[in-house]
Amino acid sequence: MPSGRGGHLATLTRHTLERFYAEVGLIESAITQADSLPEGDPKTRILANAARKFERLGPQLGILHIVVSRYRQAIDRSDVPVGLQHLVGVLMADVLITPGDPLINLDPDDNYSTVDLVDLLDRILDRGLGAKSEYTKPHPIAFNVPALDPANALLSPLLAHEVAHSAVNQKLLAELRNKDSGRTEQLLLSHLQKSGLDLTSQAAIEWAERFFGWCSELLCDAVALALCGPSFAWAFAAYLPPSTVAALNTHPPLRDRMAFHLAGLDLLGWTPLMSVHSPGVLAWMRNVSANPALTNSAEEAFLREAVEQLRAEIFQVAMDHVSYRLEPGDFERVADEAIVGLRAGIPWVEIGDSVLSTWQLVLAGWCASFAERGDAEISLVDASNDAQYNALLVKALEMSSVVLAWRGDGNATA
Amino acid sequence: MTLTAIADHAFDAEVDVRYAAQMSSLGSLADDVLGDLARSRAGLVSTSESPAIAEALTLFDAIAASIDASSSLWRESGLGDALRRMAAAPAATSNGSAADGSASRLAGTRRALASAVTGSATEKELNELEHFFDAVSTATLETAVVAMRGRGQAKSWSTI
Repeated sequence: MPSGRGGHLATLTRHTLERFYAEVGLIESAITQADSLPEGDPKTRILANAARKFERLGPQLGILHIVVSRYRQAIDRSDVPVGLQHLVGVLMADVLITPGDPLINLDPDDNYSTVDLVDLLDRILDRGLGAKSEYTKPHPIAFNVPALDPANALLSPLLAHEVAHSAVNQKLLAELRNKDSGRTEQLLLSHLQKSGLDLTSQAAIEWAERFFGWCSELLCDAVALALCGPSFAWAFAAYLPPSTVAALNTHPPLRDRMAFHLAGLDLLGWTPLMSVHSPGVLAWMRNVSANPALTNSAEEAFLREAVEQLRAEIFQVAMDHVSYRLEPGDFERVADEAIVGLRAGIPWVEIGDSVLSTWQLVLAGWCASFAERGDAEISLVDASNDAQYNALLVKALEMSSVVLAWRGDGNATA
Repeated sequence: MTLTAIADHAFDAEVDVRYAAQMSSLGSLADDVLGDLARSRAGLVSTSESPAIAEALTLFDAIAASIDASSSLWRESGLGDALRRMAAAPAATSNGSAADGSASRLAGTRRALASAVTGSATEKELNELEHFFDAVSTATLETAVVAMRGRGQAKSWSTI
């Protein structure tokens, strides 16, 4: 099966099974060796160890079973729109560092999320030191999308955040660390001292681990903003309404993230366009994000200050990584016609000599929905829940991919 | 990865599988160390020739190098962290001294591994290694079995 339809899950499964066979071979050799020993404690110990290793293979094979049974129906699937498949392909090309093979998984609960299955299966039989994977084929990447609403175009920018995790782990966090130059460590030390703690305390390690989580999430948000522009911030606000509950966890609070999104969009030059197409929604986002729910804990003070002092660097690292950033000027040149088309229910994708890109179409979709439904925060939810409208957008994404493929073949003039 | 931590906790299928995989990895290393220790007692191999004992020492060296919070700022929690937590768990307290009780235990195991790698481990050190890695092997197997229990099976009368 060609790459691009999830067929590499079969390749990865065979690779993993071969590792299991090798493991069984090693255990059998140990048993044969023990059989040559006289009865006694050493022989008993070796055989007991072999039995333990056999027993451990049970849950280890169970992990492989879960992965294969969960994702097998996502291989070569034809029950999701071509537009969604095209969008996922664009994301993988623009964001991933190592080659990937997408599996679009209709998931009843674990969405939106992505999983690099090599990363997961390699851990099963590793010996703890995170050795580089021997698997060299394209990585099967699972895209877990809502089972009953897989092709929601307006929420699709959320997938950009998810795909970014792979690049963040592989490269972007290290780049951010280089730009940090030890400032965060100094800040951590200073906040710990205020609380009577030092770097070796368990609480300090938990603060540091949470900082790692916050930085990872904000880097992914920044990548999604660079790729998708305001669409990501609107999709995020529609999918995760900003909670008033104060809590600290592995992800920054929703209102803090909304503030981060607005700052990033301003840096990327999107504020004027948002002021034109959705001034009411923009005002609502500014108001909500300026009123975060606080726990007033020492850890929270450290985390907020740490990510604030790195904000510019986070955006810089993300922007440098994204090869095809969505530009406000490019969008404005095609926006009016694209919006008119979508409001009329027509999936226009060719405007003048230009073909609307995936993220231009999604952004036009959001702008058209504000024009149609009104400039208010309720439109975020109403539009993303409109199945018919999302189907129109997905059809437009499909048309865009067709035209681009046609032109790519040299059969159309630019 | 998911968009929010709420989802991380609410939908535990993937989280459980990842955790089980990490525990399996740690357990496999412990099993290999125990197997090589048993073979060394049978005179089949020297501890200095054991790749598993050498790998375990590398892991303990990494733990020793990352003993304070600054090393956790920029890297994902790994096997060394899992091992440190396991060692610290019985003495865990909320006032920041959780790691203290396990530090000497981890340091002692590291010293014993270093001796084993050079083939100079004493009987006491070999016993210490067997005791430590047997505990890791047992705990990780139990954890993995619990995490994977019932996968793909009916879970109550109402699903049968």
